[in-house]
Amino acid sequence: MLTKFNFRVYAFLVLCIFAYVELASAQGIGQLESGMQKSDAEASVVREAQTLAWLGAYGTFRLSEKWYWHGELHYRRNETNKYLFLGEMAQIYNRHGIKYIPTKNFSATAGGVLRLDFNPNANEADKGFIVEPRIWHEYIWTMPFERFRIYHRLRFEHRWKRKFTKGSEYQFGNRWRYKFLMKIPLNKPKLEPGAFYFSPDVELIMQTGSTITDNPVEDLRIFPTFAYIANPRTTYSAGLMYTTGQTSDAGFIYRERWILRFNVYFNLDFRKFDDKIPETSFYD
Amino acid sequence: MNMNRIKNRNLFSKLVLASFSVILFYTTNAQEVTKAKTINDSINGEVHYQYYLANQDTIYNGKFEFNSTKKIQDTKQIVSYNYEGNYSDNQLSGNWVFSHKKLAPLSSFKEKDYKVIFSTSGEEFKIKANFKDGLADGNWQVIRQTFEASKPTDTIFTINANFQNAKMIGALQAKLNATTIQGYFTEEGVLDGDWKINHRINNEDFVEVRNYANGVFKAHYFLKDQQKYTIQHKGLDHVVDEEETWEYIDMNNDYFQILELTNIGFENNTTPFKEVKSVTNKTNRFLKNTLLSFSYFKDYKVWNSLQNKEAIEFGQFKVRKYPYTNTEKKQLKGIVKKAAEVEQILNNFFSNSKIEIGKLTYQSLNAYENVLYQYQEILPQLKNLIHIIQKPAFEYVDRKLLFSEYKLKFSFNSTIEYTFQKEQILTEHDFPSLPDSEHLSIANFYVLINQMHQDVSEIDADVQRILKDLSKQEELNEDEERLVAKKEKINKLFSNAKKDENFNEYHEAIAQNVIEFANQSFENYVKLPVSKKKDEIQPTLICFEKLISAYTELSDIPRKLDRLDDVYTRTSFNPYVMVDMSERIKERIYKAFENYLFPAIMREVQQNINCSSFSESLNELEKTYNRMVELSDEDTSAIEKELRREKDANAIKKILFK
Repeated sequence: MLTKFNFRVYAFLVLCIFAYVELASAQGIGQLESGMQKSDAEASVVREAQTLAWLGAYGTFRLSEKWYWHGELHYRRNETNKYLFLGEMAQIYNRHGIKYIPTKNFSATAGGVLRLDFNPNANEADKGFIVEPRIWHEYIWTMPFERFRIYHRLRFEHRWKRKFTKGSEYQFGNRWRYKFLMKIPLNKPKLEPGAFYFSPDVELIMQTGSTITDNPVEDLRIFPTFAYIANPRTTYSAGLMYTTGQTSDAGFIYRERWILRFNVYFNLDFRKFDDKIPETSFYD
Repeated sequence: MNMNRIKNRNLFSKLVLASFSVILFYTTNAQEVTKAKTINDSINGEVHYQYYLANQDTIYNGKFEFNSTKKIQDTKQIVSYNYEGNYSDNQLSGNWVFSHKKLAPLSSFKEKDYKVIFSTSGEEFKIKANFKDGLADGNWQVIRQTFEASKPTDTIFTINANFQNAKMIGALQAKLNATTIQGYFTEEGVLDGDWKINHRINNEDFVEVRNYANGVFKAHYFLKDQQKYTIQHKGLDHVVDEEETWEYIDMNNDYFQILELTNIGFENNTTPFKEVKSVTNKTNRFLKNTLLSFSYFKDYKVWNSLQNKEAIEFGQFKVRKYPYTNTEKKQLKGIVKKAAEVEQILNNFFSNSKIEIGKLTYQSLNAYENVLYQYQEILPQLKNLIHIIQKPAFEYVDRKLLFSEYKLKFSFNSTIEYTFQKEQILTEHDFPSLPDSEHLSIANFYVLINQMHQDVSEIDADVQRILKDLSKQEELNEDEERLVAKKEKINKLFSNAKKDENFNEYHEAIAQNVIEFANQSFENYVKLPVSKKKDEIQPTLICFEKLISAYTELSDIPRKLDRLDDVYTRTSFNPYVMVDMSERIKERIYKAFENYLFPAIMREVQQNINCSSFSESLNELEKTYNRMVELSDEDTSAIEKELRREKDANAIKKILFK
């Protein structure tokens, strides 16, 4: 049960995170202004923040006792001058992989990503959309506590990236991602069907590659999420993610994004009925 | 002449030759042997006899001597049996002597011819007999004497008699200490004339005279100083009439029993001595033993042990017979049988310890005891009479005359008085009327015994019923102890006196009602009369047992609910959040049970605390639980559809049990 005291703690935590995000945002804008004014080569420049909307569907489909098929589909929109968040098509993002969960506290996944980048404003010199393939693998550790869980995720992506400019070459690069998140149930003592939970989520994405010179910090994502576990098979989440990172234009130029995210998570068991019987005691 | 002489010589020669041949034949076949022999299958000894063989059979012929000497175990006494006499073609013949000695060797002894000879003291029974063709014939003598240091000292008794062709004839004399007998037999071996027995009674000499006329008992009297004291034999006929049935009977028990039965003492209240019956019975015994002693040593048949035929015919008596009618025969059998049954019932009653216990509770037992006690009081007299009338001798007496001598000295007291539970109670009992001595007969006696038997049997039937009740009461006592124990157990369980960890909310909900119900049931039982308690104890025990079982069943409810919760929960691993997640399956069924059906059943349990409905409700719960477990594993889509918006417990139950 969510006690009054607990609710206050969660509320305070959420407020703190938002305050931090707001503060960071204000700082970035301030820095941009001061950089512009000073024209100081050493000063960082922060571009005007963009607003986006990512709609995601995450599926984890059980294939056998310990093997799963992981699939993600993102439908991403970008702002336009006229519309924030949802103005134009940005990307369709497909991530698939085979997940291996040997214990309740660890999983490893590997697979491929096919990202379609759209350029609604492409001119003749540019392509209307490009494809960015990736190979990825990730490793998740969980830390169960009495009232919440902590997750550590290491994700490595090896990608072939190019620009919209026609004739541009694919450049190979690597992404090194670490994510820390918590899932804190709000109205239930543990994560279970019917539970609303809050998930503070921070991810640092670093990148390397032949084209990466002074911009290794690709993205820092701060993503406080509220989610609801409808049943063991379906979870819904929503949140406003703030990201910032060095741009490919120059290492001192930072971008900022506010991304509205709505995700739905499906967990389905594709095994035959008889194989599901020992499911409950599988990890015991 | 010469021719005649020659003929006579030839005849003589032939006779001599024939005689010689016969003598030679016997001489060559006659044999003599000494060997071990067992007489009468019990007396082992050594026999020496002469015999010849005929067709491989041993034919005793000539001298016969037998001696058996045996030491009596664990004593110094020696017993010997001796026979000495002659056989003629397997028949006892000539002089014979049988001797039985009981000897004790003295300490002095002497040696002669390498033999150690002891002197002895002891007693000898000796029969000096004479036989002809295996039958007693001639003078006989029986002597019983003692001896000291191997020399005769005292003669205890002597008997002398004559026999002819096995029959006792002529005079017989016998002497036993101061008592002597002198009597006569006819040529037919029948007692005749005066049989005089000299007695020494109270230091006075009496002569008892029994007068017979050709075997018929004529008179019986004592003589003292020329004074005659007649013994009256009532019912014993002295005069032979042609229309009457008269029989010769042997020297056996029956005859002397007839004398004893009919002997009613001295006539005219003349009593020279009081012990008349004792004296005459002693004479009877002496007379009997005297006559039998020619053939018997105690129970040992002296002469029958040597040959298969009777060597002696004992003296005969002639007596009138009063034959029983068929009805009397049946009545006599009935009297004996029913009297024995009455005695058995009385013995059983007075030896049964439960009677004393039962008297405290059952009033009738006190009355029965009084009644049966009166029957027990009269029983010895009745048994005595039965003992008399069932004697074979009773058929030889005039019963109409003799019955008047047997008075039943008893009268039933029809007023029964006893104390029951400190209260003095008087009741009446209808006893059979006792026939007076003038009307006593086999028929009347039979009626009396029959009525007694009927009365006693009826009482016994009721007594047996009461005893059965008593046994049931004893069983009841054990059951009541169990009932009390169960009631206390119910109280302890439902008041949770022992702080049982299984005591739960369901116990608590009904505890007070259960305790009150158990106490009330117990109180109701206690108030019942004993007869109804017998009917109620088992149902009450079963009821209390159900209540105790109910406690266990109620204890099990949380486990069952947990089990249902478990079987109606599916747990699966959520790989997104990486936790096991449980969810309710068949939620509509589970909720219908959890929210409506189970509470309704528990309300039933609480509201119907009695022996039948209470356990029925719990059974209902058990059935529903089992059904719920079954449904958890079945395709229930149709049931779930029907349960939509259903809140009525009965309707839910119907749907679940479809």
